[in-house]
Amino acid sequence: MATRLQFENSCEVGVFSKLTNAYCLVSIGGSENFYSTFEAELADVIPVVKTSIGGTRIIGRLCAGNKNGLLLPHTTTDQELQHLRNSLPDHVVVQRIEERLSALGNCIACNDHVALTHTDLDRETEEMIADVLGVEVFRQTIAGNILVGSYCAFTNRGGMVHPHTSVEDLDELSTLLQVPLVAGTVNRGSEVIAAGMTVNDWTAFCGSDTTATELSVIESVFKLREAQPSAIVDEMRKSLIDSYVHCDQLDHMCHYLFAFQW
Amino acid sequence: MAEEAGMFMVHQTVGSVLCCKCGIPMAPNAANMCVKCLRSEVDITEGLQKHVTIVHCPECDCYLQPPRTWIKAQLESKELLTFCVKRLKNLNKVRLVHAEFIWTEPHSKRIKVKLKVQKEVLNGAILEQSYVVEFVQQEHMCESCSRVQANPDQWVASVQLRQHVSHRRTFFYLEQLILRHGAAASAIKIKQMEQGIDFFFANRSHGVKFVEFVGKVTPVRSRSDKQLVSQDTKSNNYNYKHTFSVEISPICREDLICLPPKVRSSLGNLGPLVICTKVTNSIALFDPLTLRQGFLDTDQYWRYSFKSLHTSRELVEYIVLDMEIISPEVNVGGSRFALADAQVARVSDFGKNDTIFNIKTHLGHLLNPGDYALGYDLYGANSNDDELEKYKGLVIPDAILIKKSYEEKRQKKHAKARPWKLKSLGMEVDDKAKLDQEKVDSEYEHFLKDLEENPEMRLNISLYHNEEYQPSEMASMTDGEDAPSVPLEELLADLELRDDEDEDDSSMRE
Repeated sequence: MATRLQFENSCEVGVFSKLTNAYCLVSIGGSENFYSTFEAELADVIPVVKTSIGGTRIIGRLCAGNKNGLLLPHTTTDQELQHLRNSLPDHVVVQRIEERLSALGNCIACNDHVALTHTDLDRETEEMIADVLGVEVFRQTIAGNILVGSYCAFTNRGGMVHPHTSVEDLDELSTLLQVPLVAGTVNRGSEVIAAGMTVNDWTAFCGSDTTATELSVIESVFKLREAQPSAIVDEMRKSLIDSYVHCDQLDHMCHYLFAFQW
Repeated sequence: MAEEAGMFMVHQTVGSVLCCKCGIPMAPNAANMCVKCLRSEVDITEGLQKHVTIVHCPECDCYLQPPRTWIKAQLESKELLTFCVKRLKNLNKVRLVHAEFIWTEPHSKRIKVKLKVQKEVLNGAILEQSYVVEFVQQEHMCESCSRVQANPDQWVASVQLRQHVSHRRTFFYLEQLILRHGAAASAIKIKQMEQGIDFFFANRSHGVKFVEFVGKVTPVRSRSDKQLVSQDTKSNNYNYKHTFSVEISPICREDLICLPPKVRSSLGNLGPLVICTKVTNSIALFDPLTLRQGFLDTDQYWRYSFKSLHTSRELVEYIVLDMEIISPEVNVGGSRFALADAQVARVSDFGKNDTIFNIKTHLGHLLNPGDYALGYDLYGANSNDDELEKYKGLVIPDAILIKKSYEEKRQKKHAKARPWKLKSLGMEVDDKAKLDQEKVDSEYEHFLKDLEENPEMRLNISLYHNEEYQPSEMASMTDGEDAPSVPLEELLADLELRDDEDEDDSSMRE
C-alpha cells in the first residue's frame, strides 16, 4: 500500500528518505512523526535507520542503493559511514565513492537488477555501481533530463517516469529495465517523481499533496495492492532465472496494457 | 537541427498522462492538470476589477479620465474601449489578449466589456480566461458644461473689487493678470461697476480663492459678510450668501505722493515727495531728488492709508530746454537713473510767455534738450493736502518729471493697429454705472501705451499675436529713435479655435 506523509511541512518525502527492499534510511527531523510512519509500516520486515549524510538531511538525494548495497557520496563523514555499517544488515555493502557529482540519488536510479545513471558519471563510479549494487548500468536520460535519479522511480515490479516522456522513450526504457513503466506525476502534478515519493517492492511513501488519482496510478504500476512483504521476501529467495522469466511475460503484458489504456 | 545535420532522430510521440485531479488522460503540460481542473483550481481573474464606476458628462458625452481630463467618446467606439480598459486596475498582472463591448441599452447607464486575459499559473502553464466587466456610468456634468448651465443669478459668493480713483487703469492691468492666471475661471458672472468690478461665484471657496489671488498681486484690504438666505434647523442646514468687499489701495504707478511724517521716518526720511514706481502686493516708492527707493507692504500701507497728491491724469507736458547731468548713472531696483539739473518749460506756455523752470530730475540719462517729458506741475497746482501742510519749511520743486513723452513720435507714425493684442474677460456692464465710452477707450489706449513703454509691466501678462496686423512700409522707414514697441518674440501665438476667435474679436476694444 502507498502511504501519504509529510516531512516537516514538505511534501518532498523522497528527499528525506531512502527506501530499498533490504533497509530504509530516514533523515533526522525535528519531530518523530516522519520516522514513526516508516517504523509502523516497515519495522517488522526491514531495519529503519535514522541518519544524516555529510551533516545534511537530504539523504534521499545524496545516496543510492538497493538490497545489495548502498553508495554514499564523498561528503559522508567517517562517523556516519560507521553508523550505517553498524545499522544495516551484514549482507548490504556500504561504500563511499569519490565522485564529483556528489548527489548520487539524483544521478542514479536503480532497482535490484538494473541502474540508470547520469551520462557524465566517471568510469570508476560506473564500475563501482555495478560491483556494489550488483546491477547492469545504463547511461540514460529521461524526457531530456539528465538527472535520471530525480525524474524516475522504479522497483523490480514497475516504474514511473517524468510525465513528458514520449511513448518511444517509454518503450526503450521499459525494454532496458524489463519492468512496466508509466509516465505520471506525484504531489498534485509534480514531475520530480523520485523527490515526491520513495518506493520498494511492496510499499510506497508519497508526499501528502498526492491526489487519489496519482495514488491509484502508483499502486497499480508498482503492483502494491497484491504485494505482501512476506511474499516478496519469499520470492526474492527464488532463483534469479526463474523470476526473470516470470517477470518478462508479466511485464510485457502490463506494459501494453498501460500503453493502450492511457 | 540534428536532423538537418543528417543525424538519425527517433520520432517522438507525445505520451499521455492522467490529470492529477480528475484522472482523465491528457497530453502532459506544465501543471499536469487538465484545463478544467486547472480552471477550478486557480481563477486568474481574481483580484481584477469586475465593477467600475466611471464619471460621464451627459451634456457633452465626455468621460472623466482622473484627475481632470475629459475624453469625448461615442458608445461602442474604439476610444471608449481604450478608456474603459485603461480604467481597470491590476490589469498589468495579466496579459490582455482581447476586449470587446457587449451591447447594452444606452440609457441603462451600464457599459459591459468582455475581456480575455492570459496568465501564467502553477509552474509555467498559461491559462486563458474571459470575463465581463461592468462599468456603471455616474452622471456628473464636466466643469465647462456646468459653467454654461449655471444660472448667473444664483450666486453664493460675490467679490466686490473696488479702487477709489478716477481712472480704470488698475483694472485693465488686473484683468490681464486674472486672465493670465485663470483666476476667475470659476466665476459665473463678472460685472463691471463704477470704480470696480464684481465677481460672482457659485461656491464660497471659489470666492475665497479669488480674494487670495487678488491679495497676492495688489495691496488690498478686504472684509467679508454673509447673509442668511434660508435655514433648516432640524437638519442644521444654513444657506448663506457671502460678500467679500475688497478695496485696492488708491496709490497707482506714477502717482506723486506726499508721505505722512510717520511713514517718512519709518522709511528712513524718504521724500516726503515721492513717486510710486511699482505696485504689486507692496508699493515701491522712489524719491526723485535723492534717487532712493523704499517699499511699503500691504499691512504697512493700510495702517496709514494715505492718498496720492497728484495722479497720472494730471500729468503736464514739458519741453526740455537744457540738461546737465550732475551725478553718474545709478541702478536703483533694477532701473537706471541719473540725477540732472534741467531747464524745462510747459508746452502750453510755449510761445505765450517765458516761464522757465530750473529743476532737478532723475531722468538725466533719458532726456536730451528738445525732448518732451511728462511731469507734475507743482508750480501751478493748488494742492490742499493735509500731509503737505505738516511739513513746515519744505521747499516744493516747481515741477517733477515722471517720464519721457513719446506723443510726438506716435503722431508721426500714425499706425493705428498694433502687432499684438490682449484678451479680455467677458464683462457685463452695469446699466447704472454706464461709463463714458470715450473716456474708457482713451484710458485703454493709455494703458496699451504704458505696456509698450514698460517691459517690466509686460512680464506678468500675456500678449497675443494680432493676425490682422499688416506692417506698413512707412513704419519701417522711420529713422533714428523710434517710439517703444513690443518685440515680436514676446508675443504668444493665439490658440486656433474658430468660435472662440469670433468671441475674442467682438470683445476687442482696439
